[in-house]
Amino acid sequence: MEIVELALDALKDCQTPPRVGALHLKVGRWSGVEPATLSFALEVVCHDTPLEGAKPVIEMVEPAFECRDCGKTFEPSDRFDLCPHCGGPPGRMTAGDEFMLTSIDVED
Amino acid sequence: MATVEVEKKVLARNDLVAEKNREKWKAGGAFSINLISSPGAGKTTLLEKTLIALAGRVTVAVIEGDVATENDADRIRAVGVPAEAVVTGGACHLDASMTARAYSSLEKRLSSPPALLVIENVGNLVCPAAYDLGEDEKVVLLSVTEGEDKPLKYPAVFAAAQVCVVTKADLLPHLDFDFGKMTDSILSINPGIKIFTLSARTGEGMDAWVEYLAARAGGRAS
Repeated sequence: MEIVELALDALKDCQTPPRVGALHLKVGRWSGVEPATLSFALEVVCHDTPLEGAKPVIEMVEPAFECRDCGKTFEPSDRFDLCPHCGGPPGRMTAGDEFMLTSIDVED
Repeated sequence: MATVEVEKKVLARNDLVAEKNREKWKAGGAFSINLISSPGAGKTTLLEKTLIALAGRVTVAVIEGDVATENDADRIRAVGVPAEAVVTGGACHLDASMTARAYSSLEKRLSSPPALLVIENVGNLVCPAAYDLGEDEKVVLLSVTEGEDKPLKYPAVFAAAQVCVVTKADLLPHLDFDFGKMTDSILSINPGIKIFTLSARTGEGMDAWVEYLAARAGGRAS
């Protein structure tokens, strides 16, 4: 529902109600959002709105951690991988928890 | 085909409302906590016993989230603390808007803002980690019957919390529970988290937890 609200808000300045081709979303691999579930839910909530028929295009973002010891960024395969640079523990997640509506494709 | 740029977080609105909650509660002088756990870990029982211990020392108000019934809010009211129930009807977590509405309703019944605001979230170790309600601290409960590796299986909430309360410690003699392994698993995810181990039922370990809250809430008397 929030995605519908955000999209309609972004399109409110269009002179005539546009036909929406696609909704581009960025989803972090560890955001807790499942792409298949998101696509299905979007189809349901877009029904009977100006977004009906819009195709969800989901870009997955791979996780990255900042090493707690050396501060370098690394891409883990699971949450407990140690830093490949110095063997230190994972600290702040710098990527992989995104959930964003990035852009909307509208037909001219 | 033209592209309209948006670049907005889907939870941006929740975060905005959460920030408004945060400012409002701080302006009233409250210390606020968001109690999160699996269903049945002992949030409400811990809260009942905590509120009894804080009576006369700290003014408290509680927001109770559940999918159905106001049973938990009733239990809090029974120990003399004002409570507002949020019955979600299906949502498995509270969000900032639900919490804002509940607080608006609650504050009408209070003579002054509370020193401690407790939000007891819906029993769920997954979704509450993602929804900022405006709290100062997330407090995650883990009962000793849930297994030492629970934090490793639900890392997001343990990473997001500032405090972990290990509950039902009176059951330890009946369990094959490796306490060191549990502590290691919590600290491997969040080395800065404060851990309290207690039994709300017997009172063991409750003092440290109660004093922590009293200190954070400034010890203002009712």
